[in-house]
Amino acid sequence: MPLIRNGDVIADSWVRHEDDAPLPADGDLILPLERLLHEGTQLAGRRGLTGVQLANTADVEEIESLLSCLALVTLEFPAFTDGRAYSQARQLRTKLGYSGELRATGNVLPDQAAFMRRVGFDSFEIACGQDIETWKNAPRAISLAYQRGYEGGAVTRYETNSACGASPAI
Amino acid sequence: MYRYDEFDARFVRQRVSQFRNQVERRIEGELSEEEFRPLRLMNGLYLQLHAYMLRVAIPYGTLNSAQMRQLAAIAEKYDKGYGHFTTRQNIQYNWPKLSDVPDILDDLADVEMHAIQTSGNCIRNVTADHWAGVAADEVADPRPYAELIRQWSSLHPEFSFLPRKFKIAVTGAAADRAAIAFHDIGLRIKKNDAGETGFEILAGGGMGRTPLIAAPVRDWLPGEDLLAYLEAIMRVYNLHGRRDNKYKARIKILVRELGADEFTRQVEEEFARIDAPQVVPPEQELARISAYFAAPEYQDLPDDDPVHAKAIAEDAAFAAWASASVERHRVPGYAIVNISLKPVGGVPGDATAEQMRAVADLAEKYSLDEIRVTHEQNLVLPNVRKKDIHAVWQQLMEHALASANIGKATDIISCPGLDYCGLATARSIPIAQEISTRLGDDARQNEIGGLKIKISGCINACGHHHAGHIGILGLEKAGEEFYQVTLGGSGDENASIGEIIGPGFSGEEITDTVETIIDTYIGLRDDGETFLDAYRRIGPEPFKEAIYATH
Amino acid sequence: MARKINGPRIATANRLRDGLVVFLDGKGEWTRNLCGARVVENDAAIATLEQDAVAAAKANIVVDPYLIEVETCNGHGFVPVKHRERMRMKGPTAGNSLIFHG
Repeated sequence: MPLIRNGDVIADSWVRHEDDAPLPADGDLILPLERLLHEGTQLAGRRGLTGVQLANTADVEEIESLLSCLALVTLEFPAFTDGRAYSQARQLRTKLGYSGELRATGNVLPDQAAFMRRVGFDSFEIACGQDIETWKNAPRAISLAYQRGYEGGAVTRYETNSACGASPAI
Repeated sequence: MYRYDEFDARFVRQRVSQFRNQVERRIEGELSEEEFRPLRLMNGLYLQLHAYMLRVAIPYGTLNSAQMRQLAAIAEKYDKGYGHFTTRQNIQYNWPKLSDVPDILDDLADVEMHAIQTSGNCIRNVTADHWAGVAADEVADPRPYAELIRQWSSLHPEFSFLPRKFKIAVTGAAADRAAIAFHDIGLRIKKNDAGETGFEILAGGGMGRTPLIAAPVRDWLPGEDLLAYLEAIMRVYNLHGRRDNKYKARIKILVRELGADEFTRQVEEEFARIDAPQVVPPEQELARISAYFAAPEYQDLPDDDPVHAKAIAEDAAFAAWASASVERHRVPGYAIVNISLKPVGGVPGDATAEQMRAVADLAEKYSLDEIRVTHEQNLVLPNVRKKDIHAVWQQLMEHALASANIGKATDIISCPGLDYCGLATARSIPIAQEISTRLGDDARQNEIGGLKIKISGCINACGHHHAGHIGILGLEKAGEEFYQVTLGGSGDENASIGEIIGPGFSGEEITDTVETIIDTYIGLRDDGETFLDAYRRIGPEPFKEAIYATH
Repeated sequence: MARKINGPRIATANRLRDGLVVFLDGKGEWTRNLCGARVVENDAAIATLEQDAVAAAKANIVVDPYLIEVETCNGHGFVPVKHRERMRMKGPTAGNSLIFHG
């Protein structure tokens, strides 16, 4: 599936490792939460980065102690109307201070891209066949925001007196 | 009144162009209906029984004359010449074309209005006491906080796809005219002994199929923490509110299932970890907004006006109307003038374009350019000099806006029901019309006294029947409409949920039933006792006996 | 789309552009008038009607099409069986829409 980061479709270096098979020694792996918790310290010996796939029912504090070894967290939108992952992302970025890649997966659509960007997502796994131009234009639709303390992608009322601001790429 | 600055104006215009693009993509077929539906709902656009319906926000119920004239112009240009004021300080247009909606939104933006978040599973139009800023019993003006919440909740990146819709109401007075106990979050502004402003916070109230009175969450929250605390409540709800069952998805169910104490604990825990200075607007922002709500330049007037007193003494019809419609203003020599949108036999909450313009003209000439919209589907001129009241009344009469029934039996709240609404199970407007016609005689209404009849055309309770002294709920059984009656509900500071009185009634029987209830009350009341007080004293039994004895 | 209904039926929907109630007629057009609606009774015809209705939604002509049950009315023409659908066909029975025709 196409992966969008910084406004471009990029190659995905990550591989999902969803079964019980032993972990390969190389490569960047995305593990389900249970597997990550189970492997724990053994991950340190691998060559390659570690990511985790969190269900939108998970409590993000479960990975608090592991965040320093994680380079990717994926959060899921089973339907774009199911907005739990927005709060999970927000908690990861602010409450837990996570600074690695935060990827939106599932029913990820351009009309919600600006919201996702602002709660802290910085990569987007989208379904095949979506119009990339629509994605590139999406953040320009609303470049202004009222909420303070949410991440980039918009000019907020309180950070500037100017109503004009360039909107960065999704 | 609040005025948009460049930021607000651009924000609303951006939202209009975004929706214009989405409508084009929908018509071109690039967006499916399934994808488009949540997008149009967040812009206030429904597809109802007979057509699209556009719901426009009137934030905390305030309008100026230019805005009211624009609402009239929209009604004529894009609809059938009228609009419907709702129970949540919105106005609805029943017949817009999808392709016209972006133009309507642009016309609204011209007068600093929008339809953002008047539907959808997001934070809806924030409502407030319709007498804000002018009520004699007010502790503090809720409008600056309501505006702060309006801005904060607009296209909130985290809280736009909640489990279900979310409604916030604010009052700044002891008497609750905003029904805060029936909201997802109810806010009451208080002052502490040091004179500081803070909030009492309620959560988990609501109507619908599971009516619940909101639970107290905080007795005192310092004013500056408001948005951080709201964020904490919203986050707990967004993460833990039920999404498996639409009917159990409101925050009231979460509060009930967790228990108010556990819910509060979770909110407090989240609140404690929010870096408030990072998320709450700087102090000068509240000051900036509050400046727009500074008291207008009132004249220095004696409280008693001889012209007004003379008119009251000499004109019995005027005196009768004034007694129902005029309320005490906090400034001497001024009055709050309520305008009934409930002509006897009419459609509750409807106003024609011509009536809207008449009210706009009156506001401009006599009310310091201000109009309010109430959750009881009426209008208010909040700043009328007492000496002008008679002139206002005469002009209201010319436009069929001078019904002397505010707070009385024919001041009926009614949702649009099955005549317009896609969700309704029965009609409500014709029932309201019939009851109003039956009870419409002035002497009869005066004999009955204060009474709130509220009618909903389905279990979603948009007509607030749970909070009606007499509540009527329209249902359908085997292809026939029938109506369930509840008694003893109230949406004020002593909120209560009406109790179902027994088996329902057909459309033909319901007006007789209401009249039987009223006659029973009249027969049993103590001197000066209102319907609600009498019901609370004597309970449902006498009413049941009277109603069901004849069946 | 509802399947478990009996008796003659027609396809209805709301038109995408203006939202008004429409019915699928014998020529494959969507008409405002129920009298012109294509009434079908046997399984094969019902399946075709349903397919045509769904196709019109896919083609973005109408929104949320579905089949409704109808019955003859005094031997002349058809009316919907269900109360809600009768209301939908008739339009509002009360309110300012009856007075103002925009």
